[in-house]
Amino acid sequence: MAEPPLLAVRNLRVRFRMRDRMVYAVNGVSFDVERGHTLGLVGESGSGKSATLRAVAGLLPGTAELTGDVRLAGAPLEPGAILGSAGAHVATVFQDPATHLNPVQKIGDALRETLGVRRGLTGMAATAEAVGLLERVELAQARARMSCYPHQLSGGMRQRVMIALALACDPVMLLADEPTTALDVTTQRKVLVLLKRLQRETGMAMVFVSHDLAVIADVCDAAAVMYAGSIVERGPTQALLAAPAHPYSDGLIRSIPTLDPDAVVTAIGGAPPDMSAPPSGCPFAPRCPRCEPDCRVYSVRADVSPRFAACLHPLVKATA
Amino acid sequence: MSAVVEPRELEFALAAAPPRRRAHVEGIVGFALLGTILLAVVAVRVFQLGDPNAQNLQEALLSPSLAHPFGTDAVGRDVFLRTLYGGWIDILIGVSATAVSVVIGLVVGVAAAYKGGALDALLMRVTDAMIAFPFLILSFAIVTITGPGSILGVFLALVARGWPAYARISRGETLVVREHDYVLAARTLGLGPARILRRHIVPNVVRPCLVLSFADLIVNILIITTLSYLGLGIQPPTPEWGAIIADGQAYILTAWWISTLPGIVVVLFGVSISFVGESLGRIEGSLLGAAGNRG
Repeated sequence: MAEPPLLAVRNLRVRFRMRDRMVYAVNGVSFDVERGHTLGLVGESGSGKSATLRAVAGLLPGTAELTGDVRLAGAPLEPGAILGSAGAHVATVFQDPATHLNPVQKIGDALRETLGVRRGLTGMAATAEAVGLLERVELAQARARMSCYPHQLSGGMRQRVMIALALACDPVMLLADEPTTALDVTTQRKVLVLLKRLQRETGMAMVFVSHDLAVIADVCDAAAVMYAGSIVERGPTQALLAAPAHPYSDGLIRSIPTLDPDAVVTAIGGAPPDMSAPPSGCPFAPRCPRCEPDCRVYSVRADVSPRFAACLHPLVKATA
Repeated sequence: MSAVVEPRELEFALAAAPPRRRAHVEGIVGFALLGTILLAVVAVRVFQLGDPNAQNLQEALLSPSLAHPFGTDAVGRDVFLRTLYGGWIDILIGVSATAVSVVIGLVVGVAAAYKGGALDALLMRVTDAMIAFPFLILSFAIVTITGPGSILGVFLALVARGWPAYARISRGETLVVREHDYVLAARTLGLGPARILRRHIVPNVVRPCLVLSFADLIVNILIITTLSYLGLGIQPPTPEWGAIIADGQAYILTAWWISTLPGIVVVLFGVSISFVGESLGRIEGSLLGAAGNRG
């Protein structure tokens, strides 16, 4: 029997209890992440990409109900358990490093604390390792920065600190929830280069959530496009971007602005469905330019094959 | 190495060097005043510089002079010396009662907010009851139990009045802080609940409590003086600010200095604490300092 994938998610469903209704945020998402590989989850706001990541990481609030099977290296995880606290070598990097660092803790103390809890390092050894981690994330003047508070650092520097904290957990997998969205483009670029280098060095796997296809194209081996809480298309990043099979992926790619002044940017008309009352049939059907009558009735069931599109009338035949 | 400084570099150096810990005038005044008073009070007490209760009826009711900067009282005691001796007990009880109030309030508030449910309801109703209780009646009750003139009685009365405010503040702050992203982030790093509470929640809750404690310290010292003024607190002849002021009241028209000059010292002490608290609040990274713009 082959080695099980590092992360295997099957039929993950997340719904949020609201005051008077249920919101179905994630509706049967399945995917695998192999060791050392990067999976990108891409989609617009409300597509369920962040909810999926947070469900896997165990970070959903108490109003969330969660079902499905999540296995880490073959071992089933208790639904909703925080991955880091289970002692698993999984770390999370968040979108907004400004709010995810304790404002009254010096970054050196934060690193030493995590190193103490995760690796049992204390005193000089912890300090030396903390400086080493800050150097690995290319924070300039690492030693001097140890005594800085988060608010004394720029956004990019804070994100480097977040990444250093994640590395302190010695992760085999990094969950990245829009880690570059809050940064400006040049900083974003540097952080992406850093993440890719660290991944090469440590061999860790990544699940990378972003709404930015360009970012996904840059870092991810494989991409999964999410819409209305489901994966609508999955494939190797280059293949998917070059020849999208699902009309939604195609629309997403066409909606990226380019520097070419003559290029036409096409927006996808309409708005995503109300997830408290998911439509029957294909959820994208009301907005789909290629919608046929049968799309309103039937939808394609998601599977876990590496190349797949949940569309009755795909743009290209997606075959494994 | 050239000694010539590029103009742009110089400009940058000038622009890039705002003093990190700006000295505020009121901060300097506050620290100087507080330091002077504390130093004098401690020195007089530790080195026993003179006897505050030594009477000299031949030198009764002398107006301020070089020999007696604050003059003398009806039985010829040196008011300056008594004021300095008196500060010891006021400051000691004031600081310790405030500190104990902060600790009790913090523990109660954080526990109530973190555990929630029945414990929260119970602790907060007790807190409400304490806040609703008239303070003087409470102090009368406590002093009746401990006996008048008891330092313990004054201390307990102050703590009983003090802690509920801190409990309310820290409960509210804990409810806010526990939802912050950095608490979630700390959990993803595998830190345990006890550590998160101690290292990530309490340090963020403690600052508003400390800010209040500086104002509260002044109030507490005024309460100590009030209690002894009313005859409930420290009893004569033990020198104490309130007792000294009460003592001189009968002579306010003939010997104004007995009440007035110690009264001014009490006011200056209060003002200096307030200035120090204010200036600490502005110094980035200090005990009370705001951490960045997110408070």
